[in-house]
Amino acid sequence: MKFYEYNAREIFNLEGIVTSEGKVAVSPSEVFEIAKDMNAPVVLKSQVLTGGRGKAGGIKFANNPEEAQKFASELFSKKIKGYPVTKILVSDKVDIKKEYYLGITINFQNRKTSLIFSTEGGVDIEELAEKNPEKIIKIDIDPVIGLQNYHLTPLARALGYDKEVFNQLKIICKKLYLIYEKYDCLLVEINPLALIEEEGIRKLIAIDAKLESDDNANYRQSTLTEMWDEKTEEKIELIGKSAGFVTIKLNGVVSIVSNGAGNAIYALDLLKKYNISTANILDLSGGATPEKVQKAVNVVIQDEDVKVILFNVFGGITRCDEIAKGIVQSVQSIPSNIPVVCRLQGTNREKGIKILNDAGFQAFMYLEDAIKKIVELIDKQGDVK
Amino acid sequence: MSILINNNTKLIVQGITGREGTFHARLMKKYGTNVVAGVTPGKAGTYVDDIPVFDTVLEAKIESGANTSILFVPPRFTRDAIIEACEAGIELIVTIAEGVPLQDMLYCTNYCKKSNSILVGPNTPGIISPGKAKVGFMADMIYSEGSIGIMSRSATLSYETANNLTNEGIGQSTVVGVGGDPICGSTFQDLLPFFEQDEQTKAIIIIGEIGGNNEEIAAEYARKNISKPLVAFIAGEAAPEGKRMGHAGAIVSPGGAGGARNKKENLKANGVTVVEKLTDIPDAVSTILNKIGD
Repeated sequence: MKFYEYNAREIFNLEGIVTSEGKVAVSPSEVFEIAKDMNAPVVLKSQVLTGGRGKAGGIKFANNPEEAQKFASELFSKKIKGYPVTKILVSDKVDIKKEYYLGITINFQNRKTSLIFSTEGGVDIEELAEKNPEKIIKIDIDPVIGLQNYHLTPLARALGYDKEVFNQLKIICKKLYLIYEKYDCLLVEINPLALIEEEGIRKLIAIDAKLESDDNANYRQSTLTEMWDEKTEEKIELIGKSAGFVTIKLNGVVSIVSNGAGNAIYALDLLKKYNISTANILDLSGGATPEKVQKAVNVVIQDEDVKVILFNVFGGITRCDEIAKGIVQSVQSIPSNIPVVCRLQGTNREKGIKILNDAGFQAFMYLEDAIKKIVELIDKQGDVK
Repeated sequence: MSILINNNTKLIVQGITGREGTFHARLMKKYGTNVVAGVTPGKAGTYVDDIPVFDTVLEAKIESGANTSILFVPPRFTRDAIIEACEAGIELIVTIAEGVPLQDMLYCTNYCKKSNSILVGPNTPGIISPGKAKVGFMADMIYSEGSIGIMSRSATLSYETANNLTNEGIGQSTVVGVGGDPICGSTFQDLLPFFEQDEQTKAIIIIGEIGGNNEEIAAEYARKNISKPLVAFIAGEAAPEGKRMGHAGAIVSPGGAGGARNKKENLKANGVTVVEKLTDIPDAVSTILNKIGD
C-alpha cells in the first residue's frame, strides 16, 4: 500500500520523527482557515501517490490566506501526473539551511535492506543516482543483524564529521529503521530532511514523508490498514479483492481467469500477439472449487469492458473437473452476449472436458487454439479489439 | 543425479495434519519420495497413515534423520517454521505459502544463508526430480526423467514447459519453482551452480517473467561461470508499466526497468537462447541437444 504524505507524517510523528507542521484540507475554504490559523506564509502540497509532484506543479507557496485559497482552487481542479488532487496538506514554510535525503528500502537485488543517504536532498533521488552517483551513500544492512552504529559512519564522513548534525541524524536513522521494520515497509523516505536554525540551534526536521507498506503484512498492520484510502484502487480490483481474488484491471475486451499469475500473464502476451486486448485478469490461485469459480465469474462480469471470458487452466493442485463444474454452474449469471472460451490442461483434464462438452461448451487443450477461437468470436462481434 | 532432491532425500512435512499437508504428504509418498516424518505442534505421537508426527522439527529430525523439509504452513507462521527447520539443521527447506510478508522472507533468506541451509520459495509448487522424488504439490504425471533442468518463477508455466517437453520425448533432471515473490530463498543464480555440477543435466531452462532483474543477474553469471547451454522464456511482454501482475514480484517499473523486452535483450547479449513462445521451447532444446551431441 502506498500512503499519502499526511498519513506517513502521522506515522513518523507517532514514532518520534519531527516533521514540519501540517494540516490536511479537502476544500479551498478549509485551506483558507488553516492558513489563517497558522498566521504565516504556507506551503500547499497536493496529496497524490506519485513522485515528482513539485516539478509537475503540485506544490505552491502562499504569503497569506487569500492567496492560499486561490492557489488551492487551482490545485483542486488539477491533475498531477494523471492523479486528481482531492486533498492538500497546508504546511508552514520553513527557512531551510540545507537539504538531505534519507530513505530505507528493501533491496530486491541483493536481498538486504538498503539505507540511502545524500547531502543533496530535495531532488529526485533516481535522477541524482544517475547523474551524480558519487553523491549517494548506500549502505546494505543484513536484516538479521539490523541497523548498527558502524553502518552510519559513512554518513558522519559525508557531513564533514559535524557532530551536532550527525548525532541528530543518527537518531532519525534509527527511528526510521524502526518504522521500516515495525510497519512492514517496502520503502520509507524523508526528502528533504531539512537542517533549520531556531534561536541559534540547528535542528533536523522532516519536510516530507513517504511510506509504502507490504500488502502481505496487512493482517498485522491495523494502524496502516485503517489509514489507507482504498479509493485509490480500481473498482473491479476492489470487487475482486472482497471476493478473495487478486484481480487486475487493464484496458481491453477479454477477461482472463486462470489458476495462477504466470499463465494469466502468458495468456495476456499471446492475446496481444493476436492483437487482442485484455480487460482484466483474475487469478483463482491453486485448488479452486466450483463455488470459487462461480464467485470469480461474478467478479469479472461486473467489468463493463468484458466481451469474452477466457479460462486458462493448467491444473496442478487445481483439478480441471472442479473448474469445469464451476463454469457450467455459472452459465446463468453470464450475459448471453459474453462467450466463454476454455482451455483445460493438467490434473483431471478428461473429466473436465467431458463436463464442458456435455453442457455444450468447447474446451481446448492448447492455449493458442483457445485464443484463435477468441479471434474468431471477436471478428464476429465486430467490436474494437 | 538431479539436483537438490533425489533417492537420498528424507523428507519432513511441516504442517502435515492440515488438509493440504496430509493430502500432499500422501501424494509425495506415492510418487516415491521418502517421507519420514511430519510436524504439527500438539500432535506428537499421532500418525498420518504410517508417517509419525512430532511436535517439533528437531525431534522429528533426531528420530528420522531427515535432511529436507517442506512447509505446508500458512504465511503468518512461515517465518517461525523456516527458522525452526534451519536451527534443527535441515539442509533443504521448501516453503510453498503464497503471501508471506516480505520482511519475513528477507529475514529468513539471510538467516538461512548464514546457516548453510538452502531455502526454496516461497510461493512455489516445490521441486521435482522426475523418477526420484517430489517435494511439492505439482501434478507429477506431466514430468519424465531426462537431462533438462528447469527453473521457473511461475508454477503454471513450469507445468506447461515440462508437459510440452515430455510430450516431445524430452525428459527433465530437476524442475525447481523458485517462486513468484520478489524475495525468494534461492534465485536463478543461486541454483545455476547446482545444475552446472549435476551430471544428469545437459541444458537449463529459465522461465522468467517481468519484474526485478534476477534473470539478468543469472544470465550474466552464467556467461562467466556456466558451461551448459541456457534457454529462456520471459512472460509479461504485454504487461503495462507500474501494474503488479498477480505475482508480487511481477511489476515493470516506470521507464521500463524489469520489462520483458529489456530482459530478453539482456539475456540474448549474455548468450542465452530466448524463445518467444513457451511452445517453442522443445524445438529450441532439441536443437541444442543435437548440437552438443546428446
